[in-house]
Amino acid sequence: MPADLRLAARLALPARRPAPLVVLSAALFLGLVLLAAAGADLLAPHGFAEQHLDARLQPPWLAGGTTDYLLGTDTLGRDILSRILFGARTSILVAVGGTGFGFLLGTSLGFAAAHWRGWCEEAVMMLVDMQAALPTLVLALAVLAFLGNSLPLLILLVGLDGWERYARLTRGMVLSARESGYVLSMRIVGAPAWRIHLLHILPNIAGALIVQATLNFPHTILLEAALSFFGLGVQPPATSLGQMLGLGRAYLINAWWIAVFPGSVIFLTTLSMCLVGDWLRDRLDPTLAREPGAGRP
Amino acid sequence: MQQQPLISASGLVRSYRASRAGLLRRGPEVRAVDGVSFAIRAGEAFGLVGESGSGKTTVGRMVSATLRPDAGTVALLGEPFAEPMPLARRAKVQAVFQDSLGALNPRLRIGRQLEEPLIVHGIGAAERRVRIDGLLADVGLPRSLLLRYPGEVSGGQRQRVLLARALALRPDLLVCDEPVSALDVSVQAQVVNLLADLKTRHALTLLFISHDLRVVRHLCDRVAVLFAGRIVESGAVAEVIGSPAHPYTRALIRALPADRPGPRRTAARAIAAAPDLATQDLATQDLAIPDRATPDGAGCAFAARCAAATPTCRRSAPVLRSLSAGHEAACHLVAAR
Amino acid sequence: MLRFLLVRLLRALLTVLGCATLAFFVLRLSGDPLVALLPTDSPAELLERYRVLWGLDRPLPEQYLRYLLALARGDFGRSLVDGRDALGLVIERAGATLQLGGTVFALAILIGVPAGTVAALRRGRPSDYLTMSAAIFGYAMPNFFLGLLLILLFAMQLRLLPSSGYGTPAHLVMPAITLGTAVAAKLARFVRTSVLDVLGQPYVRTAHGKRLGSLAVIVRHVFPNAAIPVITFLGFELGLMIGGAVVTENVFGWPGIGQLLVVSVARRDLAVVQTVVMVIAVSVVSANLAVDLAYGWIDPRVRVAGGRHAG
Repeated sequence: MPADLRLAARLALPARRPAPLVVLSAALFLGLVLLAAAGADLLAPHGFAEQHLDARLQPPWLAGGTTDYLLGTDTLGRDILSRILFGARTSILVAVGGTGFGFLLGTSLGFAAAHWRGWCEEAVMMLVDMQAALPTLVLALAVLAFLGNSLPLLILLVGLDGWERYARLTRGMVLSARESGYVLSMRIVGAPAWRIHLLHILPNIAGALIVQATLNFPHTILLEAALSFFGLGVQPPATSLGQMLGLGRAYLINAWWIAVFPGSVIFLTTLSMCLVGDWLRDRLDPTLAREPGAGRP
Repeated sequence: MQQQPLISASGLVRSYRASRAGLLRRGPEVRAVDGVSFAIRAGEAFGLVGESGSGKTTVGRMVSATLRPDAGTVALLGEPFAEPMPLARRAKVQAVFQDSLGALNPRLRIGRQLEEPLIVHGIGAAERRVRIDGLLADVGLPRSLLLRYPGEVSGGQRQRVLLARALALRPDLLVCDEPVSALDVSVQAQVVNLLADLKTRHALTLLFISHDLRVVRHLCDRVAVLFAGRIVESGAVAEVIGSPAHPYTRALIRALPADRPGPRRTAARAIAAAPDLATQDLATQDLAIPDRATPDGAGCAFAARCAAATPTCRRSAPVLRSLSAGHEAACHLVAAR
Repeated sequence: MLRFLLVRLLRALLTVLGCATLAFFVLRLSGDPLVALLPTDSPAELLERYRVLWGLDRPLPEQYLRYLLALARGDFGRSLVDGRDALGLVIERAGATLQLGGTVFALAILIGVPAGTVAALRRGRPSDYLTMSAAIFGYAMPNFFLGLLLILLFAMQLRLLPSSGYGTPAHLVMPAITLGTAVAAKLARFVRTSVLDVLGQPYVRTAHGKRLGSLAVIVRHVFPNAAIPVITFLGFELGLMIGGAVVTENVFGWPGIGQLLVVSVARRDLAVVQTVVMVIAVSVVSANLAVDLAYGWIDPRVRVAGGRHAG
């Protein structure tokens, strides 16, 4: 009986009323973005690094351009639409990888802090305080500029954002779960601590953790975009939405489309994620809404 | 009396801090359990009766070695019973708790939860299937239940699941903490009868913790009455109920139905006869629970509620004294009576 | 209370020390600053001279100890670029950042608190949906993108406001909106939750029962009680706001600490980056400490188990 199946059952369980139209469209949009990012190779009319020097700074089709470049081209004659598709792929990859890393790190440390109370707990909470005191953006700026740049490093840094929230949440929930009858029953049976934590407590707190991840995800996307915007994130020739926005910044006057289209995609993606996350939270875990800062993306 | 008891508790003490208010000022310490000793022989059903807050649940937790006593020991067949210990020994004492919904994991199917103790104890898959079938038959549950989640079945069924799970490891002693009080009266009777049945069939020894003297009378051989963390009276059920010595016990029995039913009366009728009258009601009828914030406070804890209290009662705490073979009470007035 | 205070202070101090240590080692271990600082064809002797001059030739633990000792004396080191006192450089820029931050906080409170309160009082009505929709837009909007859109509209199309710089109130408008939108939006959402919580409390329902006018109930009961979580929220938001300020300052050429950070990071100016990190850590930790203390003072129960960790 795999845990993810049970979780799926739980996620689908309380079918009181259908999701509002807004949430449905948000989910639909997210699905489209995912599909587009995954199928960028098939969908993109041009290569993302392919330069058409004879067609530089072409406006979008509806603003006087051609259907060759639906969303226009940039200063090197690269097709904006194609770059958005490939850029979305990178952005989503970084955000998903980062969220996964932060989730794993935070929940493991949260479990550790709840299990080994005493010095281990103190150390973890110290790290939590430190992470809260140093904005991830500041930390990432310093590290990326000094340590150089690579995609895995970027993913790790972006993932640092929010781990302390998972850690706090996990620790709190594990501590309260340990007082519950079902954990007591397993202790009487003689079940080892790892078994109680992984097989009995985890399925019970997974819902709240997933909601937290959903709420944190937009923040991760924004962080990658901000870093790439500064030129410290994804490096050319690879591209990401934030990087495109950063490059387009210099050409706002004569070629607004270079920045506005990728920016809109970022905005719509985070907006959809926030809508879906809010809905999930209200649906699965009403208590989470009360925690200060828990709901911030 | 001569044989070695299966389980014995001696001098159990456990305190809780009321609230950890402030770092300089520690909250007052409350002695939930204050020097409780008893011994249960193999095959016996031992009742522990008291109102809520008397410390009976804490005793149950300590006997099942899920709560470490501040002082005192629990011994299984003469050897200390405390964590850490080998799995095989751990299995000897199992427990069922009152809150059947809380005691089952809401996210795991019932089948899995029945299987879990067997997996932990390294029993192979084929053997597990056979044992679970046996357990289901024992407690009278259909196989279809195995695929359900705890939230999807009734309270009585959940209590049977808990019984089955507690029996899965074939324990010698079963600790039952208020196993029926959350259930409807008719269901209560079924579960109590099932428990009596299982006890005979599996040669179980029971520590039955309840606020309800009627259920204890039906099920138990001996009983101890717990008040404010101390045993105030203990003895054979027939004797304690037939000729109660301690004023608190007498008050408990006065609250029982007027026609003193014989011990052979069925549980269903016994319980249905007086659904509202149990010790919990007594607590609200009488005075409030005594203030136990001062441990070892001078005097008898029951004095404030006792009609016959004398100045002696308020000055010094009584100790358990033997009245007849196996019947003890802790009251200054007992000798005089 | 005294012990609580001391424990909290010690924790805060340790946190700041931890941040300083982290920054120190990350920056030292991640490459040779001299390589970035000096021309690539500098002779080896020159490199060596600078290395000795800045103490970069010593073993790392010794550098660390020296750094801590200097910190204890209030010496934050000198900029590798122009040799100026690092702390002085940062303080010079702090004014601009505080001006921006103060405006944003005021803006966020002026917009967020009334919007959240109205949404809560009109729960489920159109004004609630409208406010909350605006809020979710505000907080999903990336601040760098919002900044660019504002520049595009107000500076380039309408030519109403300067696109970058510092000095006049007109310069402040767009940065403040860029940074303030997200904070106000989050605050509005949070205030709504807090007020809804308070409205559900028995004493508020009692007050309504006593026929105290709605406005009187809100002013007397709802605001003071909703204020506590709101202050907490703002204290914890400071860290995120600083991250946002770094972006905003760079988009608008606002000469604050955030711009200094990005410039110094690009120049590998060790001492300045470290000092900026320290200043940020100290501000966030102090804000959290102040919130904790205020909370512990108002509600003694928080003193029990380390307030923020509880739950």
